Amino acid sequence: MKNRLKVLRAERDWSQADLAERLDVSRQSVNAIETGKYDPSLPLAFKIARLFGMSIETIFEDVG
Amino acid sequence: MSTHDDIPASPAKAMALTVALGVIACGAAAATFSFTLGYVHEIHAGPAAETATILLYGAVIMGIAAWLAKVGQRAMKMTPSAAARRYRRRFLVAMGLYVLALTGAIEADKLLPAGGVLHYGLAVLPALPLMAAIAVMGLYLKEETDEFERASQAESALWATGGLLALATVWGFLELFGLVPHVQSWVAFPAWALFLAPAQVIARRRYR
Repeated sequence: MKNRLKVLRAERDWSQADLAERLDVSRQSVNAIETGKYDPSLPLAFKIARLFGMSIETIFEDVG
Repeated sequence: MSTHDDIPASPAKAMALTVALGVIACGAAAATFSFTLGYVHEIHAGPAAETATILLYGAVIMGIAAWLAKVGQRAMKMTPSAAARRYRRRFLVAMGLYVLALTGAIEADKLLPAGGVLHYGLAVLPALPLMAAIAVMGLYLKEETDEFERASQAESALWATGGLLALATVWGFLELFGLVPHVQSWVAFPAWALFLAPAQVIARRRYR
């Protein structure tokens, strides 16, 4: 699944560790989600969306 | 704040470093243990001294394991979660109890008559802390709040289980045809644990 996480993070000048801290997950988790290797669960996707003040589909794009 | 720290550490290199350190440290500890036990035998220091040597060796190995866990996590640039820290602490306690139970059972075995009910209990005694260690792993998966870590660890456990089942199947048939010696089934757990380290590397590589 493609996502805009890296761009959104860069706009705020956050490192992966910064985002991980805000989401209460590990930096490895942020990296895996960002690179599209791991798809977050619905609760985590909602948490990410809330953090950036956007809807889930604005951040994640279903390319399947 | 910047995004320059986005490149994750190589898990394969970190694991190789940790395994190399483990082999060196455990090899040195085993050589020292073997020498010390030989010396204790030579001077006829008695069973108490032998037990003390075995217990000391167990403590040293556990110390090495705890140290390696920290080194490995640092090399992988991982910050252990609260659940992971609890897991490590509980696992080490279980391993400590295992060393005590095993040493105690071996010593008590010399005193008890064979075949009695107590003998059965004694034989099962070292298995109990290992069963606790298995439960501790399950507890970690339940308590880990980071879903990616949980998924990654569960995947590693499945890889390790697959590896162990494959090995046990191949070994079993080799044994059936008389080509390899018999291996006792308690080996399954340490063998699974040995599979777990490369399984974690495989699982993590998939998500890099």
